[in-house]
Amino acid sequence: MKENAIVISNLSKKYYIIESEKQEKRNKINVFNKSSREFYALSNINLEIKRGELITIIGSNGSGKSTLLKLISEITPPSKGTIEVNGTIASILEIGIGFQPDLSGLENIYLSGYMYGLRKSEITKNIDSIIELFGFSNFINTPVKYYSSGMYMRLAFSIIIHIKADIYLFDEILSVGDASFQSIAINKIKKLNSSGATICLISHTPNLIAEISDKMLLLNKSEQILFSKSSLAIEKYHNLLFNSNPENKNDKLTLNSQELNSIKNLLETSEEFQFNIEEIKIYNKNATQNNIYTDFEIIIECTLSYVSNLPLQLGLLIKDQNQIIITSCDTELKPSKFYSKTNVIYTIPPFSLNPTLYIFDYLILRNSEVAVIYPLANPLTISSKIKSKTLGPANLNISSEIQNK
Amino acid sequence: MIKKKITPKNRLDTLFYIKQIWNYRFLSYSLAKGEIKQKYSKNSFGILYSIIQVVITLTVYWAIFGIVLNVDAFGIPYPLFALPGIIFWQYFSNTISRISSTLHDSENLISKLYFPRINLLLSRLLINVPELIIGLLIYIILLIIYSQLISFLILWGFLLIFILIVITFGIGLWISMISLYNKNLGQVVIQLVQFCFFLTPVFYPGTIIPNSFKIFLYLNPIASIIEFFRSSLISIYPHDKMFILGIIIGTLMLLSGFFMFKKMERKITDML
Repeated sequence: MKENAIVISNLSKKYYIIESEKQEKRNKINVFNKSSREFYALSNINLEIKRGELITIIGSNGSGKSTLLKLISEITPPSKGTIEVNGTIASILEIGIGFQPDLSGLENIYLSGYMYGLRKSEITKNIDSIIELFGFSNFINTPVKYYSSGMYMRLAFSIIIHIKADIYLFDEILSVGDASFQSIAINKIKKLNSSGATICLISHTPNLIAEISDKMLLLNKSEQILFSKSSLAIEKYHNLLFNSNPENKNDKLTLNSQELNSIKNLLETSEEFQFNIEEIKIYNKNATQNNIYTDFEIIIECTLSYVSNLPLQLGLLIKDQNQIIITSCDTELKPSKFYSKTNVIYTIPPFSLNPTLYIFDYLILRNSEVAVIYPLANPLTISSKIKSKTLGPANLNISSEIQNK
Repeated sequence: MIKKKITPKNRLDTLFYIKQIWNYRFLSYSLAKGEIKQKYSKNSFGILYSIIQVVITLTVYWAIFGIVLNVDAFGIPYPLFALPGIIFWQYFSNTISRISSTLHDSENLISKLYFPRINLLLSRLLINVPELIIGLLIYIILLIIYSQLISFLILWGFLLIFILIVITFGIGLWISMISLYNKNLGQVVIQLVQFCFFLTPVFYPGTIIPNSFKIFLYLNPIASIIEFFRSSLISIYPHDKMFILGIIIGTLMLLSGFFMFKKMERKITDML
């Protein structure tokens, strides 16, 4: 049984809403007599984080993620409940905070270190290694106001990873910087974690760090939804993220006149043209449940009616949640003189898509040129009953063998 | 392993709080260093600028009050008489106006980092110290020019400068708390404090105040310190037991301000 690093019980944080300039003054006074409109940034959070765990906190904007870290790091006190912390905390809520533009890089290393509560001797001990990681040692005595933003970030990051603590709190540090910075940051976090540190981090792109997280905490509208293993939390997070917009619910199935015209132009025809997707159904072959599992064949059934004197193609695009195309598939549609219903059925073999969130788009094509894209508004989460063996969204069933020579 | 329990009403232990402030002392020092560098990097004269400033102020005072109005300074050469008042008051008023806006100016740091907020105010205390030292050096030069004896009494002067800094901090604590509560009220208080310049014996000796009103003069800690400094370093300047009154008032403000601030410390993030 591992020791607890952080135990949170019944934690709530209450704020008083400031509605207008005029009311601001009144609210400030109400900080003391507590009678204005209240707003819970966090309500009733209960957690137990064990030593050496890596916890990712996910949730939409305003769900209370940053507030939770601020409470743990004592930047602001809770309104209710308790937090027990075993060990020293390094709380990195923003990178490069508090740099003084007129101080040199070296002086800012010390300043920044002091801000995170380091002692002078601790910084001096690590100074060579910080400068080495920074990588621009000949600029170390230049005031940081002359630094490029990239150098600035690197300097800040070099300091941060030299902070020694038992528990690290990171707020969104992966969203700043470029891809190479992100991978460096993730590697460093992994390294910290494997050396025994407890880590809590906030992320908006949970897939990036799902593999290194032990558990994920999902917050929504100040409430704790789930504290569980990553895959479950990510699935629930995506559901929340995309189902919260009710106007997205109905798929746009009818083409407007502009879109019809663009198809007509492409077809170089002046004759009658109609096209409607009437229904899209996605289900498992032997469907007994609401969720869609990759363990069985996934059927995508598209009911459409069209009138066209030329052959068309209907394409299906499968994209990940970042709108990156994973794969596609085309179907030939024969010319049709009468407005009649046609069913197009796509079948995805079992285990070819790994469990995550997908976006399906339809395309109308003519000689491989795209005329119109029909987005299927609701992204779809595909689950799995067993743990997938491969990484990434698609499973290509690549075979491997060993040949001894 | 350090164990800690965070609850809605954590009372900060005074000793622990002081220890924390001490642990973060280099933060105050580094912040001040950055601000000082920024101040001097903006003008091309650098430190020379401060010297010129003191000399010009002193010359103007000398011309107006020493020569034209002929203020009686017990036969002490007017520059020697006026300089401590000028440098002490300038330090006080610059620092106070700096401190009052510190918490609002540092909102970014406060909302993202954990450290004793009082260290921010402490750093502002250091920003005007270079001017204080320059003024003091000029004062020593003046002592030599007017062939006054420089004795161990100069150490007494250093002690008074230390008291000035500490009392400025006490007053600054109160004003920064008022500004935190209401920014505009803070500005009004700053204006009132600046107005106190005329109630402080900077360009006139405290002795011109009638005896029955002297108690009001020396309730002002800065007035007491300036007069104390003059009488300590120049033997012909009269000493008054009431000087201690202002220092007691200042100390009380410091202690009450410190404990009030300690009480508010955790709420500051939410009050900004």
